[in-house]
Amino acid sequence: MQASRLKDRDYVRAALLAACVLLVALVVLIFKQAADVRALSTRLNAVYQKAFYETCELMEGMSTNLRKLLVTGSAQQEQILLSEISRQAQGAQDNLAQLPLGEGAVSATIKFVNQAGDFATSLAGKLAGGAAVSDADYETIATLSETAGELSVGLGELLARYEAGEDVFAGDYTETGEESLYPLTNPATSYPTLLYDGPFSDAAGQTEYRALAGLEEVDQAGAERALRAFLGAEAVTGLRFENESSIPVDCYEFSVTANGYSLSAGVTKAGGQILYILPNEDVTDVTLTDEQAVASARAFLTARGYGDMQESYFSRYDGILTVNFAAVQDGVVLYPDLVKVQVSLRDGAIIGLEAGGYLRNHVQREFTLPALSEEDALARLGGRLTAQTARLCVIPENAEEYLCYEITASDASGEYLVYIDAQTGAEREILQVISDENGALVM
Amino acid sequence: MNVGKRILILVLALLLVMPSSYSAVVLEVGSSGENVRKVQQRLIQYDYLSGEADGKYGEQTRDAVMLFQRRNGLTVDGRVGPDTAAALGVTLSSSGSSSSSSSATIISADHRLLSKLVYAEARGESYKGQVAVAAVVLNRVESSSFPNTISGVIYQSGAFSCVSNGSINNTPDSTAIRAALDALNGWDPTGGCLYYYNPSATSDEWIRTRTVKTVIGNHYFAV
Repeated sequence: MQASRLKDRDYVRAALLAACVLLVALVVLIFKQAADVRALSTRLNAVYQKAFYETCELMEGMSTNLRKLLVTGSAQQEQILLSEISRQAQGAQDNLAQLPLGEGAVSATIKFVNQAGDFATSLAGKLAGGAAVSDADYETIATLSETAGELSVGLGELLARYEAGEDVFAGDYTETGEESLYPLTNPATSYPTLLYDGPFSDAAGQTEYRALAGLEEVDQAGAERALRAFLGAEAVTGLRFENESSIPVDCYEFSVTANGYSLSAGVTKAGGQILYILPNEDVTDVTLTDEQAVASARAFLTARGYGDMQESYFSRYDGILTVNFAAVQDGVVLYPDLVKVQVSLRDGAIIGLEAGGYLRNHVQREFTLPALSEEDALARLGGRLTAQTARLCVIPENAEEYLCYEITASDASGEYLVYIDAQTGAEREILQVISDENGALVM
Repeated sequence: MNVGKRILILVLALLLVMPSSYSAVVLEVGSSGENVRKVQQRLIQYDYLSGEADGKYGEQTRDAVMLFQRRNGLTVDGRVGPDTAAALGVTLSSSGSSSSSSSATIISADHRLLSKLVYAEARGESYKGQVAVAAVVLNRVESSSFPNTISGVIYQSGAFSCVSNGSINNTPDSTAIRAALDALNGWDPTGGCLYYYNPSATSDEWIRTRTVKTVIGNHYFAV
């Protein structure tokens, strides 16, 4: 009894000792963690500060360069300034996106720098093509310069407050009322719509479904019938209406089972056209060759009345082959009028479709005779390339379409597609063709 | 059993458990796989090991590790734990089974990042819902109000919760990879939407003011 009691006390002592050790270890750990957190947050703060400083610096530089652009008389200087401005705009955009100011607080500013850079690139292209700076361009430059100036002052003030210890990143300050910091990071509301050709111009975002114009509206039952007919009445074993959408055309959305595949589909209200089909499940087994699958896709489009279509390239993912087709009119390939078809390599069933490009653009084109002959176009090919084939096509660029010669050409480094404007002879686009075991891609 | 003994056992157990919750993978003779291969590559690069990285932890690898540990003031035990791994500049991935996502082909860095975002943001959604989330990212890239690259959009400060909570770093499954690819190929079941939110989960009042264009699963898609 006595011995066991003694032992018991030893255990308690040992336990206390161990607990002390544990406590010390915990305290050490907590201090170490706290030091780590401090080091990390200092580092993160440095990243934010850098982003802040750089945004201000680039915005100021952009404002100055835009002002110089208004007064320079040298064409060479114009080019240098414009390339500086697009570089500064890109940098300002990168840094702005890094600041934790909240999406709403910076989106208008990001739009401003994107458009400023875009405008500079577009103007540089125009000037390189021999045009001069127009009055409208001068007006735009003046507006951009003024806005960039205001923004750099506003951001500078915000930076000063941040440096003074104010937590300017705290939450969404856009709705905090009178003390709002919002005006500091945003261009004045009066900043006008910029008119120029570029991917970010206000004109570029508008989407109209030209192929749907004038088509009669179908009801839900009509859309359902159209989808059944499209997939093959006997192939469809299940069909369920999901919801209506406007993406951006008004659609009925369905879930459908066809040939044993579970699919999602959108059918336009105007004309009951199939906008898209998506296969819900992966296909992993492959029994068909790529060529057989492409033939199956082509036969499907022909049977559905798509008319003359030319396949441009395909790519494979597991057991699904995606084939791109473009419409053809009078032997001219219309690249904006694109339909993508997905074929199951298990059995050749059509399980996917993307017809947005086709429905947006497919109308009868009025071609003017090309000013350049095929020989003229080939003569404009870069010296390193050897041409294989050439044909006429239409390519889209910033909401405009251009009739071009598409020249397949190659050199030691690979195969390229070069697009020479059939009217002006300018090289509009150059794509590299990348072929591997999963298909051919153009980049 | 008496109280003292119990306390002692409890405390000792705690002491044992604590560090082990920090511990990750330990490689030793008999280990194999991607982690071993990474370690071998570094050992070869630093001239501790010759031959090829075969992913099998044999005696040669152990000797090389011991030499490395000796020269770098580490505990010489011939095993690669967190300290040795850190000294080698290798990150050991913990899940030994690197989820065999079949032959899923990732075609580019953009595609990889987009797949990770889809997996983190929408893995519980239907396939269409996953393509839709990827399409929103691509629509932002095209939009003037957002950064102009996929990484710029995804890592924009505060844009996606999976970036702030780290779930974007999980390995995507083959469905997410295919959804990202279909979106890159032009499928867009949102028709140009720039925002999506889960109406039952968001506390963001601003996003509710956007015009909803379609609903897919739990997500409202808006411009």
